[in-house]
Formats: sequence, C-alpha cells, structure tokens
Amino acid sequence: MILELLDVKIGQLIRSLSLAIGDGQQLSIVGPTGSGKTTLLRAILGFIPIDSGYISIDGELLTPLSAPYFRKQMAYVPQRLTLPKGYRGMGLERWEDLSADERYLLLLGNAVKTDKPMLIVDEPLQPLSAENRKRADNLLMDAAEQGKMIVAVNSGILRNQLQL
Amino acid sequence: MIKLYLLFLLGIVLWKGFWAWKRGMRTYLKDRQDHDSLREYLLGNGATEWEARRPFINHALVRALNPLLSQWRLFLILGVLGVLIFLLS
Repeated sequence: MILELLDVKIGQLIRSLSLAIGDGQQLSIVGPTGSGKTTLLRAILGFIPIDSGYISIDGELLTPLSAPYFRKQMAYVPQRLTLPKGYRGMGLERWEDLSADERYLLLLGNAVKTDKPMLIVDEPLQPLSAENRKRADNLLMDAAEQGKMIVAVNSGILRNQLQL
Repeated sequence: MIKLYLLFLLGIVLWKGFWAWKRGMRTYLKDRQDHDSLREYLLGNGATEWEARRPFINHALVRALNPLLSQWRLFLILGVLGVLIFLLS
C-alpha cells in the first residue's frame, strides 16, 4: 500500500505538499497549533476537499466516491470524540467512566488492535500526562512493529517527520 | 358513528405522529450538532455513511417513540372505544 500526496493545496494552511508513504512506514506530522496538521489528516480521510493536487492510495485517486473504500483500510484516532448519551458500540461501553487520557488511549488501543494496514492518529486536544504519553508511544510502537503504515500528529517516537 | 370515530382516531394519530416526528428530528439535529465527531470517527474507521448515522437515527427513534409507548393507556382506551362503537352500530 502506498499513500501519495502530490502538490496538495488546502486553503491557506497547506500550500504545496508532496509526499509518499509505503507499507510499514511511519510519518509524524509536526508543527504548532493551527498549522494544518489535523486538516491534512482530515483531507487524507476524505472528510474535506483539497483545493488542488492529488491524494491517492495505491495509484487510485481519493475522491468523494472512492473515500469510503479507502477508509475501510484505515483506523482513525480523532483529536476528540463525544458520544450521545447511552451510545454503546465500537468497544466504547465504559466511555463515560473514563478520563480524557484514558479515552484517547482506548481509541488508540482499539485502532492498533484492528487488522487494518493504515493508522491515522491525531493528537489529543489536551496533552497527555507523561505516563500516558509513554503508553500511547508504546501502542504506536506496537503498531509499527506489526508493519502498519502510520500517519500521526506530533509523535516524538516516529523517525520520519514532516514539519508544517 | 364509526366514521366519526375513525376521523377522531386519525386526528389523534396525526397529532401524536407530528409531535413524535418533531421530537425525533430535534434529537437527531441536536446530536449531529453536538456529537458529529462520532460520525467522523465511525466513517474514519471504515463505516458507511448509513452506518455512521445509525447511532443518531436510533437515538432519535427512541426519543420520538418512547413518549408514545408510555401513553399506552390512551391507545388502550381508544381501542376499547372503537370495539364498543363497532359492536353497538
């Protein structure tokens, strides 16, 4: 599997971005708040359109029609998640009893457990405690050892870094 | 008499249905506004658009129909009334 971005422009945040990530490779997108890290992830997921350029997976262009098929190969950890009262599903049964850190670790753990070849990991809205940061890093390392492709935001443990 | 009863019944059903629909829509729109991150989370993990909307639809249906179910006495009375009118006419 190869994820390719070619000359991608999204609003004023991302002017011209090209990159390619292959099977088992990991990329950390780093940058200050508001630099477009989450926007880029959302574009890769097909949630928002890009102004110009191309995003493709295995040579197939990401379009509104193809995005659902691409997403079947992805596990996504969002920046924040709120659930309607009484929601049960996706292994989130204990959601209301968990702290923000525990919620993030649960989502990350669930994503790593799936057999999907690609992880899209946003950073939590509030920074994790040092201990939980380490747990999150360990989960990402597990995913990397499984040979998953990882695109994560502000992860210090991934060697390849893209500065926005 | 039966026609009058059926008209009355239709009125009740339409009135209750309208309020159930309104309650359901309000719940759906509020949930979508407050918890759209869930829809994106489900989509981002491979759900179809329909699967990603299902929690919101289920919640809206429950909120819409629960008050109707709790008014079972009203519907029981209407039913008994209907049977009586049918037998007497």
